[in-house]
Amino acid sequence: MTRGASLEFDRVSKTYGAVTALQPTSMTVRPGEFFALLGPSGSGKSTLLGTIAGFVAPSGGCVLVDGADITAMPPHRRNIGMVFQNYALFPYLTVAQNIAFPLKMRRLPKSEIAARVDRALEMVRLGGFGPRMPAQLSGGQQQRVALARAAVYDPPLLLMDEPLGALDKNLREEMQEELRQFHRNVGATILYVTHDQQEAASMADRIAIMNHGKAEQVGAPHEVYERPGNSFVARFLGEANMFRLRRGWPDGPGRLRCETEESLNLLACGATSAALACVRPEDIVIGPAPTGRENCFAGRVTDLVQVAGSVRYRVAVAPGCTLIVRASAERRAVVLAKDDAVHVGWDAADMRFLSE
Amino acid sequence: MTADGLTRGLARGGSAMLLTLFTAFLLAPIIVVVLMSFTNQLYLTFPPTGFATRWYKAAWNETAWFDASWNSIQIGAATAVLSMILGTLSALAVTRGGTRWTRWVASLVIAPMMLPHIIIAIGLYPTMLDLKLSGTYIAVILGHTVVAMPLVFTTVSAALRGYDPALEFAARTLGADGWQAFRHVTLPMIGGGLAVGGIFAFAVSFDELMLALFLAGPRTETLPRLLWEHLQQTITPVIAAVATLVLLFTLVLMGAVLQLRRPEAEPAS
Amino acid sequence: MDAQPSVIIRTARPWTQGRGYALLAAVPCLFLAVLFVWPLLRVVLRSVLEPRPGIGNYTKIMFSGPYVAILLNTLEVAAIVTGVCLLIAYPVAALTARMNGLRLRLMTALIVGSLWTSAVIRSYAWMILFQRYGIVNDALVALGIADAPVRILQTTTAVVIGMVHILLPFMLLPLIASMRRIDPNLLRAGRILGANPVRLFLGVYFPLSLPGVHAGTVLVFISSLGFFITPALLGGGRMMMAAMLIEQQANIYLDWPIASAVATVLLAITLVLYIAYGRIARVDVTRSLR
Repeated sequence: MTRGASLEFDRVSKTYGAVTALQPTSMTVRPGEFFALLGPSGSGKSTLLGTIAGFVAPSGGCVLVDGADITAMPPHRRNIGMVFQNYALFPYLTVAQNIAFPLKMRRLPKSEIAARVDRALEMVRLGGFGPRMPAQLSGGQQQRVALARAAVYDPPLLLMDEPLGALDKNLREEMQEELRQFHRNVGATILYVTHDQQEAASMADRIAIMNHGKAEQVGAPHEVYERPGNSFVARFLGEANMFRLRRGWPDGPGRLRCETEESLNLLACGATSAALACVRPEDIVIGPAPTGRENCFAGRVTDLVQVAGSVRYRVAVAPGCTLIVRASAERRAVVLAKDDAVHVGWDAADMRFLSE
Repeated sequence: MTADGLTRGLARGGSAMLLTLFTAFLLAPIIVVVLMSFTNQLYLTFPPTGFATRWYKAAWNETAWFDASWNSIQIGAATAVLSMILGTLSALAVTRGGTRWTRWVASLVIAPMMLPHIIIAIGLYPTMLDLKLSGTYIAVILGHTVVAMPLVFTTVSAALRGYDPALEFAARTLGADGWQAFRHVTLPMIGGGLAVGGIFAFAVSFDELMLALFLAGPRTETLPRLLWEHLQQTITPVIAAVATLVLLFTLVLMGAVLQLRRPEAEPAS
Repeated sequence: MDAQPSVIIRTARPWTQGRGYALLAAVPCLFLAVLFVWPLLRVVLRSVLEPRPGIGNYTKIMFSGPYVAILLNTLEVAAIVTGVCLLIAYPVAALTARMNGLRLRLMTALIVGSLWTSAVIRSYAWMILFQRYGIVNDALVALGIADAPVRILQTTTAVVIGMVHILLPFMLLPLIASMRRIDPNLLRAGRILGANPVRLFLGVYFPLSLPGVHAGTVLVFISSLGFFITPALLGGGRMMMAAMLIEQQANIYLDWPIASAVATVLLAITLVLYIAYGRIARVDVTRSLR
């Protein structure tokens, strides 16, 4: 098992002429961590990844692996493994030759290459696939070959650029499981780029949410989900009912009463001058009778969608204000239908304050 | 027959006739040369009065044709190799270099293809004199490479654009240095395009007259130049015999290109 | 000075892939600088420096001898050849663009094959055909079009036919490429909506085929300007084009300054056309050659 490398970005930035792809970004990834860069396309996450691998030359700042600056180093000396979005398998080489490629470049003896390739194939459960050509494999199998090729030389740092992007949904979930297992086996630090929040949340130890070329928030997935720092993070990671605050005044110790732009009266915990407040759909209780929570409103169901394990309602509570409510399946004992008059409510403690 | 059916029938007949005439026009000169080479007279007459191979025998007995052919093949091969090297270097720089001025490099490399050869020829002639190369093989090869290199540049550039550049980058992250990435990834990927470009370059050199007129000497007489000199004097059917053999050779080269292009050309579009 | 706490001073510039590749251009650029740019520059310099500095060569071209007439003749022949090529190639390309399978492959082989055939050999073939007692004259007399064999060689007609034969593929290939990109659904929709064939052609098909027309026209016209072999063999002695004039001045009269001046004019015309065309159409002419 490899010891994972630490990774540090020190004010790394990238501009293309007048366009800023990446604002000066500083971030640290701990040894052995599974770290995800999450953001929409164009958010700078792939640019940041590129600065580590070497195919993006930072306009400023530097990248340190285990404390050493690698910015000026050509990629073949960086000893970093990378899995590409479209796998980048060499189409004219067999699976075994593909996996042997990095070992051949390192001039390992033939017998050792063969042994290591076999072991790598076993690890990704592709034993016996060595003589095949990449084009003869399915997407998931090619993905695993790419993984084996990137890991066969035990790099302490593995970069993955949307590796599951080209797979269909079922396979993607299966591969997530496999990647986690893989991470436990190899022990390398993994930096994982994705735009899929579910993927990032289910695999990563920590995530960085990227937007407009900058890291908005870094933390463990549940931390970021529960305490989003701003409206972008709140919306990007899961769903959020967002309220724009007009004014607020104290309401007892550590409690704040606020009026929203839609003239709703809300009770929240904490003291703040933030512009926004939000509540997660699953924190809202819904039912035909008043809910008895601190924030309680009457409304009407305008739409409902059944998803696996839960029902997602849209409830109009005021002109111009529709809340999204997620009720888990067990609560469905109370059957609500479209146009039903309902009551929704949530506790002050479930409200979060956000900046823009 | 309805009026609509009539117009459709006329249109079909018209287009068939047009294509037939077009084909006849394109093929006529080639057919004429081949017929001429087998005639038993000094002039080509219709219908042919007889069949003879005497012009082939006559050509066979003239060593000048052999020398010129051999010169042309040698010059063509050297031109192809040099064009392949320089064309690949410039294609790599332009498609993978990614800086502003590589666009100027592309224009510079393409330019000799767009300009009349006579201008290049009268500029190269004194340059070759200065370099003390006038009349040598090297002079003709260098001159031909100037005009043949754009073809390799275009075919190799197309091949380079035809696959994901992440392949080379993958090789670099996997531990290949620049040369190894070229040797193990780029070269296998552009092989077909490079070979086609090389054959193109050979064909251009093999058929080139203008530069040969100014740069070649008596010992480096090329085939087009010898054909040209013969045509300036008399047109004997010996020329037709040589021309038929040249056409045959070109056909072989073209077949090779079609064979090389088949696997990669289909999915590319 | 620098208030930031941890300042890491980078010793070297960041590594980039592009820089390495861009450096590869050095060798071909040097090669072309010595064997292409310098020779061209030399032609231009020679035209204004020899036999003595000034524009003497150009005034000589302008006001004496046959030079202007020959240059105009070159432009005229180029224009005729381009027009004839377009007239023949447009319907042929329209038919070819609709083909597929074996027919398309045969047609492509015919066009590309023609591209591969030596210009010297093809001009030679036309010489055989156009001889005083050649097949064309035999046919003309037999059909009663001419009473006696007529002169075809050494006329502009012969040169135009020979050049059209060589340049047709350069018109056809871009035309076919642009016509194959026309969405057949557009025409089908037009027909369903009741547009008559003429309006459909003028309103839809022709405008959409214009990129090919532009590319082919420029390609053929520019190539025509520098033609040497065909006019020399089929028009030799009686009609002259710019490239023949340059070759004659340099090789026979050894008047390199005049040859250089004519070449400079030809170069300027070619460059102006090429650049003007690039500005208007923004289509890479050379792409259609592949």
